[in-house]
Amino acid sequence: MGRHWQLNPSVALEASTTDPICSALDEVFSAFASKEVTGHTHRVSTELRDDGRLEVLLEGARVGTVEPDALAPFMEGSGLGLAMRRMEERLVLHAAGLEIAGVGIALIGEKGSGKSTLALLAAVAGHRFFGDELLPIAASGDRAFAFPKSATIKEGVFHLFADKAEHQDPLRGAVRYVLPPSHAAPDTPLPLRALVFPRFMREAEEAELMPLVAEEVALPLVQQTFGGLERVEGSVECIARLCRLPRYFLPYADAMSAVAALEALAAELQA
Amino acid sequence: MSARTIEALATRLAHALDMPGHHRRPREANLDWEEWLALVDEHRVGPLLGARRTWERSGPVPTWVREALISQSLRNAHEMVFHISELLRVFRSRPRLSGVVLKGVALALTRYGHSGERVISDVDVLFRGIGPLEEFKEVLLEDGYVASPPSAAGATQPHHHHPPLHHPARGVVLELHENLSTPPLPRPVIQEMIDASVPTGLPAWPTGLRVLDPASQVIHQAMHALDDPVDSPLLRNLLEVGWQLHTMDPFERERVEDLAHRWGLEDRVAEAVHLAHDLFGTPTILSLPDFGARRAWSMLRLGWTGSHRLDKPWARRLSRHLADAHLRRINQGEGERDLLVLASVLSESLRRSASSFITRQRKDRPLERVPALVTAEIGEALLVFDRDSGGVHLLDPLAAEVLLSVEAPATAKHLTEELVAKGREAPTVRTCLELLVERGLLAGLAVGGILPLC
Repeated sequence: MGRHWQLNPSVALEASTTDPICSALDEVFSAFASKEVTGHTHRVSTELRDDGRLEVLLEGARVGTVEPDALAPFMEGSGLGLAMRRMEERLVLHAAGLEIAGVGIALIGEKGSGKSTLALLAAVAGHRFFGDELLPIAASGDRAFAFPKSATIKEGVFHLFADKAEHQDPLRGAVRYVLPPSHAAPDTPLPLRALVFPRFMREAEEAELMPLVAEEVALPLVQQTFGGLERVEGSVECIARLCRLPRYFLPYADAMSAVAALEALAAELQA
Repeated sequence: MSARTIEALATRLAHALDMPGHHRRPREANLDWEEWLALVDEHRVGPLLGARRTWERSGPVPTWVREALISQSLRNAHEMVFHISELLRVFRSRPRLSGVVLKGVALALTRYGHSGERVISDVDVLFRGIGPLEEFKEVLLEDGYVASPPSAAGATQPHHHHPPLHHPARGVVLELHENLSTPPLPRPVIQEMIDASVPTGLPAWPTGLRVLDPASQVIHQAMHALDDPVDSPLLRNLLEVGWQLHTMDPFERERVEDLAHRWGLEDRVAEAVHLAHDLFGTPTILSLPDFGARRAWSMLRLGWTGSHRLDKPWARRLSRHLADAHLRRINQGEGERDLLVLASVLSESLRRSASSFITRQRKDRPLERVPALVTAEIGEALLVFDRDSGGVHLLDPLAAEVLLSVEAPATAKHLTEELVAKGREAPTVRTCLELLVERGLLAGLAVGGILPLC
């Protein structure tokens, strides 16, 4: 018996339900599970080595060796690469996407900025989750598309999701994967109304949205563009259009108050 | 880079692959680990070391070095997943097509523990002739690949492969070959290599996707290791030559010798094999030819000259000029031990050094905007993307005005006068021009007597 994950319309992964790679893929990419697939399908599997580690195989070719509890993070990285590089007409931002009261917001920031945590907590509060890692953007720069990989959370918020399995990412340390029930289906369009650059800062007194000028966000957007500006035709113009959206910096110490600030922003934009 | 750092890295690599050189004790007291890591990057062996931890048994390694290597290894594994996916997709789209995958991808699939251990920058495929090559190229062009423009080096140096094809969105580069060497190997040699090629051994893979047999693979890798000492990650390629020989049985090694003799490649193969032996303690085959320029330049390129050190930046620059110029001559078919060749190499190298010096000194040369700039207004600033260098710049309004005012080649003096006439201050304009030149957005044109020297 095999299961399939359609990572984007042109590429899918297939694995046997008896292979540990199946549950690893389900942890990370369950929103992409599909009975019918399109495009190119790659079979992935694992082999147990004598030393207890797992060989990861793509179509029978060994592509990596991992500890069993590092399998899900390994497949997360590989799957993101496969999906992102085949998004050939879209700029892809390192960002989370949310729809709050009908208003599309992109949370942009580097690792550790807290965008995954905020997106997940907003989703738990009932808002729609469009993904926490890759946010494909139309060339027009006015809408994003859902890439609802399970949100990757780190130790600081494990207590909120105590029932989830723990994995060891050699780069990021302990991680858990959480897919909120309110997630959008893959590729669902999200008209963008605002860009928010969150940053977890222990010393921040309260979460407050601070407006940014366009010039301040251009280079951060470029830095958070996967594959650089040469990857897709029209990237520079797309960045310029994104810069015209309302833009905010959101320093926060308490994640729930940051979610409240996002809700207030959505209400204001809707009004 | 000191010879001692090279030796320390070579010993660790021998440990990683359990090769005879690991019996040497690494001399790492007071080793500069930052330099060591820079060397690892330069020779692209980070993922191998990050994936195989056996080399750590030979001595303590700083935690930050270990973490950097593990990170490289994981990122490379993710990268290789995509490359393998792409290769399979292209071959499966035309089951009739047949090609021999070379170098990095072939070794990653057949030799390394897993493909994440081997960095590849492109996928090389050898075809039986121009017909199949063109057919494959057509498939790629239909699929969105584009021919890369010839590089400055490529324009002046003969190449044995066609201009690389790359897919901008997927970040994959394919090099299609009809031959494996410059100057070209005789056609029958290539045919024999292709005839002896073997399937990958992976059951579900397309039968048309093949790899060189082990003996041909060693020969090709040995040629490749020393053919391009300026650009190639030489240490890794030499490591692969030695490693393959180390894991071969005597019968297979004999076949490598036979083929190298029969194909007239014994000197080129022997140089790489013996250099690998010196670095990693791997087996030798074939007799070492007399000391020649190729070996000298290879050792200079490595910065590994036994008792000598090449620590001074000027010495490294000069050695690279020399190596580059010399390889150019050898690739044009001239003998490597010919004194006249050496003389011309030296004079060419000096000319190039002088040219870059003189060009730097000329301040009145006309400036022009580099051709590959894409710009967009962001508020009052200008976002500038240089397609050639990949650089991204955000220019303030004045710098943007200065850049956009360079519509045709003009001297800095002329441009300054023009902008001063529009009310700008001369010192500010000059600073902007210097900044734009420094960032590579404006380029100086070579003029008059300078041109022939470049």
